[in-house]
Amino acid sequence: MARLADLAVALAAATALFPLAVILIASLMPPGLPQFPPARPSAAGYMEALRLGFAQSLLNSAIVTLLAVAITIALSLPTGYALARLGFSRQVLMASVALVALARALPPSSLLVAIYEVFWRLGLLNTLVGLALAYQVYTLPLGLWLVTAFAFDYSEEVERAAAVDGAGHLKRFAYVGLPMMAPGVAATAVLAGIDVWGEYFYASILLNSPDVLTSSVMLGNLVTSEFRSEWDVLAAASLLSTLPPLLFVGVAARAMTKLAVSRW
Amino acid sequence: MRPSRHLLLAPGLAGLAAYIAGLVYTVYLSTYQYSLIGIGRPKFVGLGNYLAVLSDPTFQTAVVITAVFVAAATAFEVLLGVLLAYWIYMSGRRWVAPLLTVPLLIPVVAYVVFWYFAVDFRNGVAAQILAPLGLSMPNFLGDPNLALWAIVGLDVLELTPFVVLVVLAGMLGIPEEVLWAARIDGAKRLPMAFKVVLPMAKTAILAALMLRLIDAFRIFAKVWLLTRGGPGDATTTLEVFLFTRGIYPLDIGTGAAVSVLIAALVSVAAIPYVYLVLRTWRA
Amino acid sequence: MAVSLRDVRKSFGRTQVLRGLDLEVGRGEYFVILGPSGEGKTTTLNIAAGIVRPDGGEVRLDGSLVDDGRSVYVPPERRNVGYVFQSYALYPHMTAFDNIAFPLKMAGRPREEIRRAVLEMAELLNIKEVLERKPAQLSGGQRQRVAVARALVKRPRALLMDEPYSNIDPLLRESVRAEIRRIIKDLGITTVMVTHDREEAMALADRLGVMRRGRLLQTGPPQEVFSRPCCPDVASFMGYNLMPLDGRLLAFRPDDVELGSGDFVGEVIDVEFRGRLWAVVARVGGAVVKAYTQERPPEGRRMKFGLRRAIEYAAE
Repeated sequence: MARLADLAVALAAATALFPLAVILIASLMPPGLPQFPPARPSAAGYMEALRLGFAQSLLNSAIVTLLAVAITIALSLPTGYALARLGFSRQVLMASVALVALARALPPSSLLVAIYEVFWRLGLLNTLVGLALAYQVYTLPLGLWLVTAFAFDYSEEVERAAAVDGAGHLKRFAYVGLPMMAPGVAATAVLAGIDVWGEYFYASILLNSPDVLTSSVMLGNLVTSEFRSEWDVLAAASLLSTLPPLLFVGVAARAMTKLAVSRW
Repeated sequence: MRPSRHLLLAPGLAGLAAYIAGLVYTVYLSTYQYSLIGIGRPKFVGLGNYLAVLSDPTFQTAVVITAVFVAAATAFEVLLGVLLAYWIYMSGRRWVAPLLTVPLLIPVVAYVVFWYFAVDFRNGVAAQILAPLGLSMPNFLGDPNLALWAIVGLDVLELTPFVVLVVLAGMLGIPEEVLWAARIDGAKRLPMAFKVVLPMAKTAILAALMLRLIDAFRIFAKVWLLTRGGPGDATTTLEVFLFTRGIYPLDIGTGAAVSVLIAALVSVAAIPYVYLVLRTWRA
Repeated sequence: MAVSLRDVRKSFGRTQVLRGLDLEVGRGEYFVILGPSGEGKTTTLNIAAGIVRPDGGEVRLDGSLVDDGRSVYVPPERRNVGYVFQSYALYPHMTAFDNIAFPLKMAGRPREEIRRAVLEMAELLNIKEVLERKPAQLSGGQRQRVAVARALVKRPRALLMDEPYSNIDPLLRESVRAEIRRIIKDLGITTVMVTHDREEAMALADRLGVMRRGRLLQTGPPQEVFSRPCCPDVASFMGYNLMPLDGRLLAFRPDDVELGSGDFVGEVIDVEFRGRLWAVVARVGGAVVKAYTQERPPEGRRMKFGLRRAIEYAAE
């Protein structure tokens, strides 16, 4: 039985790392017919990807992600704090929780048409700012849920002490709430960022000129274009787009465990 | 004092209000015949768009395909995930957990590329392993009977780790002494799993199940990039239908109607989810 | 011997917790391991139960070898012992009834027999009314009884208890422990209990063992260990004062100290009222000494101290 458990552990670890390993190896293939593993590693795939402008798309992804996360945190922080610490009634809390859960549950694709139509009329199509705003559909429910949970997490007594010292709501938020929630907010930011960094649907619809494409869209275009058979390029681009989120493995691991044991 | 309280509460709720407004606006748009490239003003048609969509056989197929996908993917992921989580838990090798977060970090499109490499029946990884054995790979992506399952396979590979993480976290919350007590009480392997560990991890398992159920609908990237909804209609899910009939032709009216229908379908899983979340928060 | 541990050794990392422990408990005996917290009492129970394996030594139950630290190992599932954990470790998702029934269910007994056995146990432990409740809905005392019932329902070869009364309301502690002791004795179950409470150990044990630094330093009936401690470590744990004198160690009880006359001179530093006596702390002959007296002595005064009875040990 113990051996079965060990096998399962090995299997789990392998399936987690296998895709990454394959992509890494494939990215080092010389151009031409795919072969695993490549006889002589070559960086031609990376060169080609960069020549096609992939670096710009990575930058675009970074901009959109940072912007979207910033907006979400800015909106979630005060509200999460207020719901947890400013004495709103249970009904207000429950109603907010219900709304957040509903927004989290409905698929983002349901709002895409409305967003597209509005952006068309407002001229927000094909802009990184527009996409960042649209991404609130993905990140705001997650952000509100997590930030509120973190706001409930720290002890009330620090709050009361500040109130007794004469601090009003805004001051308490700035001097007590923010610092106490900071680590949780950081974890939330990372999770939200990971969500939108690799997003494809919205990005492919709301962006179309090559200079604003995010890395997901560009990679998607490569997969469905004449580069479909240039596996080394595809793999190189895939790896490049995976590196930024991978930097946050440690944070993500801790945040995920916290997520799983908190209230959904 | 009063205003600052509501001032702090407002921003997030304003965002949610915008979300709701978006849903309402979508319903509104769905009642018009409205194309962004057409000439003439949008025309009110009431439920006309809905009737057209609902009677469209491609839509009907899309509903079935989506339902099959969601059910199959979720079932495999939860069953596999619980199994793996249990084994990892009982083996005591908790260090696997951080490794399992890696799949969650890899962008979907990168996964699509990997799967494309794996499944390609000529040059793919699996093909190259089987070739020396004299076996050949079926053309997964080109076979209408297999294409959907190829995509289910990708989803399972990508998202089972998520289930494992959630369920494992729940299991790690079980006090060790209760497991010892169970062993002293004579519990062998099967009863230990089914009568002690799994029941005590019930909340986590339910959470993983609900989350996968509501998220299983979000598969546009995987389908579009691997099969474009084909071959034929074999993998045309609701989101693909939304794209090909509503968004691509800039037919806002139809697109909005499809969007509303998708939301309605997901509500079947979304409503229980909201209910369960509320129940947890009530404590 | 119902429970026998010979020369059992156990280390966790670099800390050696058990250093050659010897323990022999006869059938039907109520044995108490007494010792300070954190020195291996729980580990001893865990090794007896099979939850933890020793690094060396032999563990026997009813004469048969269940663990030799090497290739012989009988897992807990097959040892037929009962264990009452300090936290009770009840199954939170099952009713009290199902908790108690669990060991019998695992043993494959028929449903009717299980029902009878559980009700009988519940009757003995006075928890019949709460059988349909889950642990979260029970009081601490009720949970403890459920834990005891669960451990006893299968008539184990040995009952192991880890500080079972430490979480009980102090006012109820005496009556609860007496009651459970009576039930155990009526059923004739061999019991090994660990506690750091000296008074509790002496009240309940047929024989007790004082555990210090990973070994049982002295075992015997409570009166014997109490009045004739074998060595300074045991003496101090049994409440004796230790005072160095001319290269030897003098051990004496607080109630054997006489104030006002005697061979020693000391100074009173603290006085506490205890109802029937006064507890006096004094500095005498280079040691801090506790004494019980009938009358309140003045603080800060140097006085004479005498000893009615004392034991001499060679100095460490």
